[in-house]
Amino acid sequence: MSGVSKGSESLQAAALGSAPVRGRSLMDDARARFLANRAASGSVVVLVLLVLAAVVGPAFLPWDHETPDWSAFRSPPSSENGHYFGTDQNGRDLLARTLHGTRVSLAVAFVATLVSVVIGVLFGAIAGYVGGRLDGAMMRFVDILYALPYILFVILLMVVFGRNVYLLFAAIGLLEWLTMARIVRGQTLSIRNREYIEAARAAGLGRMQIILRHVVPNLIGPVVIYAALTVPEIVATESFLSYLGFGVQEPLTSLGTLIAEGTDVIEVLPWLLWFPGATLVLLLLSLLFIGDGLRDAFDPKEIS
Amino acid sequence: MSTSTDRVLDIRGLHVRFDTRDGEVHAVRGVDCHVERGECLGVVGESGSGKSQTFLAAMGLLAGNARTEGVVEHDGQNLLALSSAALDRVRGDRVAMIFQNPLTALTPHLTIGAQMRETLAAHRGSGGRKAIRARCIDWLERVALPEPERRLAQYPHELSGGMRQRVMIAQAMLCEPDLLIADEPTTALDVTIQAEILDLMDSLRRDTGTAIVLVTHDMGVVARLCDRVQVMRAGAYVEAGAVDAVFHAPAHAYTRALLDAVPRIDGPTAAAPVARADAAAVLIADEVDVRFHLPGALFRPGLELRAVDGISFSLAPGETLGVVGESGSGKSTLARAVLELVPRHAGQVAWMGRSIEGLAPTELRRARRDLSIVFQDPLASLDPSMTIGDSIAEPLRIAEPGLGRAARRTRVRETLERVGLEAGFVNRYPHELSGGQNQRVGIARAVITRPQVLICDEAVSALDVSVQAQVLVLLAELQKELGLAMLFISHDLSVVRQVSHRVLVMYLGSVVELAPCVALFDDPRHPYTRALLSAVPLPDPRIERGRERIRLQGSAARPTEAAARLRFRPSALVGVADGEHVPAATLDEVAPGHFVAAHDALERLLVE
Amino acid sequence: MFGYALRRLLSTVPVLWIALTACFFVLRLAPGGPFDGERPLPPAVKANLAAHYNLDQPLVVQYVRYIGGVLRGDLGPSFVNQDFSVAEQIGIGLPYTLILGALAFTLAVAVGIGAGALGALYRNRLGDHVLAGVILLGLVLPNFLVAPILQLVFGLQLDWLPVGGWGGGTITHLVLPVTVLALPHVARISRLMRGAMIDVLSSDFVRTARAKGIGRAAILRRHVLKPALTPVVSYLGPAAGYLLTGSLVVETIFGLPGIGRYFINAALNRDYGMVLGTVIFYMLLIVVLNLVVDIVYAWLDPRVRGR
Repeated sequence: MSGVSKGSESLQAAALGSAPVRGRSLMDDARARFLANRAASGSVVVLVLLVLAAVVGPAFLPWDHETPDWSAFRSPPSSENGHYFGTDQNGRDLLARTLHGTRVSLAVAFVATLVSVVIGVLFGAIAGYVGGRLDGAMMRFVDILYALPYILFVILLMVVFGRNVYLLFAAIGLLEWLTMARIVRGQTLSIRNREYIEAARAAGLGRMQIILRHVVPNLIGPVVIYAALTVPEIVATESFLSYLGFGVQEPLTSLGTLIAEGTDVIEVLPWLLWFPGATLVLLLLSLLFIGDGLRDAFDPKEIS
Repeated sequence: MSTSTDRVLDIRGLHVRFDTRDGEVHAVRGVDCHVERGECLGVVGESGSGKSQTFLAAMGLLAGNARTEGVVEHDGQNLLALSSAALDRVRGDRVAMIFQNPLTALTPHLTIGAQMRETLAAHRGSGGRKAIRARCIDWLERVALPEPERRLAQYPHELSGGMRQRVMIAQAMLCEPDLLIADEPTTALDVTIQAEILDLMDSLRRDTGTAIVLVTHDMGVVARLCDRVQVMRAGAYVEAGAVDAVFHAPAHAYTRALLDAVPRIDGPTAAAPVARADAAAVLIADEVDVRFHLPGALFRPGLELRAVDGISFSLAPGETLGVVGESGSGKSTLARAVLELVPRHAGQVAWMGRSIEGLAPTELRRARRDLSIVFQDPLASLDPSMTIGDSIAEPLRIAEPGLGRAARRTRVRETLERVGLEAGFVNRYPHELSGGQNQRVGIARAVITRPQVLICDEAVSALDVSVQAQVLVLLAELQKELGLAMLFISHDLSVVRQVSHRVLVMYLGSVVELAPCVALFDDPRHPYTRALLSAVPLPDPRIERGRERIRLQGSAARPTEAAARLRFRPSALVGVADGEHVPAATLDEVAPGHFVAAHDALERLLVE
Repeated sequence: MFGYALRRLLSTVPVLWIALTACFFVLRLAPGGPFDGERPLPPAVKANLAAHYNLDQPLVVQYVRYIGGVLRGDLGPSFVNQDFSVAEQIGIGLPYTLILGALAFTLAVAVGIGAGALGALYRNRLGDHVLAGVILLGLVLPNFLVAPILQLVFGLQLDWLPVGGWGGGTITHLVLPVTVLALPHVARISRLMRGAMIDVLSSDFVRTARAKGIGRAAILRRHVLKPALTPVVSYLGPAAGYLLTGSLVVETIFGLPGIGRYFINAALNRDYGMVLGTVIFYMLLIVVLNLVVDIVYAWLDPRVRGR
């Protein structure tokens, strides 16, 4: 081929490099960064322990969360009578109640997160991929809802329709999907405009194939991050509602309800507040570290 | 040998190291460099050469994780050893710097006037608001910015790229510094605007005696403007000297290689394609028309932008049609329209002699195996979550679905090696490879189905000169081997000359000139083509200094306005309303195969 | 600027309309709701309701009158308290809530921005790490947990501050409630501010400003502050909403006679009218606050207005 001298080929060695064979995907990079983040990986351990304790723990305790122990009313924490967290005014074992409450809080969080993720992802992905008028209308809708004090609306619903625990799951889940929808839409839009999508179309892929092979795998990262960041918000919201008396009802109990009960008697039976409070804080803290750790792992420029 | 008092800047033994997560990066390794009073020094190098970091270090503008060592002497002081207050007295006043991207380099929420005034206020103290304002306007006039008073109250995003760069220059020159450091000042600009900015900088230097350091990767720019040149590579100094000496008799092998790799508009062109007598055109475009709708605001109706306005061409097997134009010319849109990636408003397109109108979607997709495209940004055109092996295999899966997994893998490996990458790269991910390597992956993906047409959309524009040269060699080889017809889109006329058989020049969506390559470059007829060619810098100081530039009135800044569309036929402007659409100029065949759009005489169109 | 403000104002109308309509239908659809006599209401209240809601009229007419009433400031009768209408009760509680909210907002904004800015400027020094710790606490500790703990420590054990009550609005009475209400927002705002400032400090235009030698103070004041504030300002809209919901808990725990406490009591007593009316009021308030925030945002970033 005339026109290009041999001189340029001498630079060839400089441009090509030698390198190992096995590739390192973005997921691999993210996992490595996450594991290196001690706060995050430590929190995973803590969270797993908490979940295990809440799910399996009650089977190992002699007391359950609602049967009173007639011999030990208002007992401070002690190992002699087997009430490691103490008992309340009705003689119910606090450790059992705390574990039960944790279980309920986690269940609500799990279901509500699932609801919010599913709705948010579908809504956001459709809006982002279809674009145009539909996108405009859907996002207007999200903007409208965003502006409203949703919690109040939830309370209104609770008041009017009664305190059904399933309604609670759904209502809280519906609270958080807005953020997920926005994130997913933004990501979908940015992916849709990328050149590798154009390259796929030029290669002859159909729309569905493009969505499945190119859009979805690149959405997973942000969805996981924001799902992880949503969980502590949901736990906090459920506790808030339960604290005010609008959440789970007897015989179920949650951390929020326990804290409310503990606050009433904080001067005389302080352990009724400390233990559920500490558990809630521990749960939220570990969830927060995990969420932050995931975000930093996928997008390291957020790190200070 | 100059004495130190003649030197405006003297860098000795400069080292710059960065502490990053992946360890220490030694970006600048013991560089010596000096700038004499009133001269223009060019500092060239490819990416990673450390040329920018050297001068950022001199100005104290490096990031927080950088450590410096060495001496940067100005006016008897070592700038590296100064406290930040002392350095602030020098910066902006005695030594100024302008940067590559004027949109991000100017503060978006402050008016132009506010940004200019604060420099004066900081260095020249008070002087009254009127005096300061007058001086700002004076400098805006000196940089040939139209309507200077109005600009003072505007925000950066309201100005075009060329105007913003003029503002940056004016802002830097306000205190008449000894030295102006320009870091890739014209890289982000169109070639005609680049030429104007360079001329501006040259004339300012002669008028004020300010020395200029021009940091760039473009050898042509250096040849035009600079007295001396310094070549850098991988953080170290390679060679330095007077521009004539270095360009015509380079001492170092790297410099020689670099100069050889640079394409020139007076350089060799592509060899003639092997034409088969009965060969039918592989790609035909007939009056292709693409329109975009620009949304309006609450009280303003939307506008229609004709990005491609009735373009026709045909592509024979084995030939390369170069498509050139500046930003806004619609060349990338044309490429996508012809591939049916963007909806066409009107016009016909035929692939392999068969019209694609009315093809069912599945047939259309199957027909795509004969055409491929390579994009500008190598990293963005590859799916980051897929290995490069999977990315390359994808078109093959669609085109030959019957191929088994093992056979496909073999094909992928073969193709990888054909484009110059080791087969072992097949499991790696795009972010692990360099830009040049990723572009080879893009090419591999494009040729694995053995297409007949390859569209290169600015495929080498984002690459370093040496890598660019290699990729062009690769493309030429592949063309010969596969009998590929190529549509080569680029804003870089030198590259187009090197690879094309015929060239199409576009302006605001329509054809301005279409001719065989040699005819276009040696005998351009249309004023716009002539202006473009005269603006492209040649990496040859002797020739470059003597060139006359052709400068045309008007600009393409507002494509929906009639004045912009009728820039070369102002005589037809009479009685045309502003948003009214004007039909494209007719093409006249002035010589066999050489078509020129109708235009007014050149003399009428020149800037006075 | 004015055009933008007008457009934003107009766009809040559909928002409000949808919200009000939703509330109306919630009330109507309440199973076994107040209008069906499942819970026997005192006859005086029933009469009030019938008169107000025109229960014998077709649904459409009720709806129109309802909207009309809201626009005139009439939020309906309370279902429990026959002496005061909802609007009147809100009117009584409003000043307390507003004072509490305004103080907490100001505290959160001032401390949040200041701490965040300092954290960005003195990154990774001791102060920044302390700030990170405080931010963490602020994000994690729910206000209903912090409040009783502070009451216990400062009120009962140290006896420095009163445990609750308005006490005529003296500072000692307000310190704890305002702090508890503001804390999570101090955390979020300082985090946003710090992140934004770090981003802006490494931007191209700040590099240009440094190259002009105008001095650190001028750079911070003129070039860095405005763009760094933009994410903070966009948080302030939702923050207003969170402050209002937070005030529900704070007013209840500290026994402050604001709207929040009325609302909680009404909700617990199943006073649908009061709950509905309060929700409407809160919604209106938040929409107005969001509008103000959007206008401030446009002032900060000229590119937003241009459209």
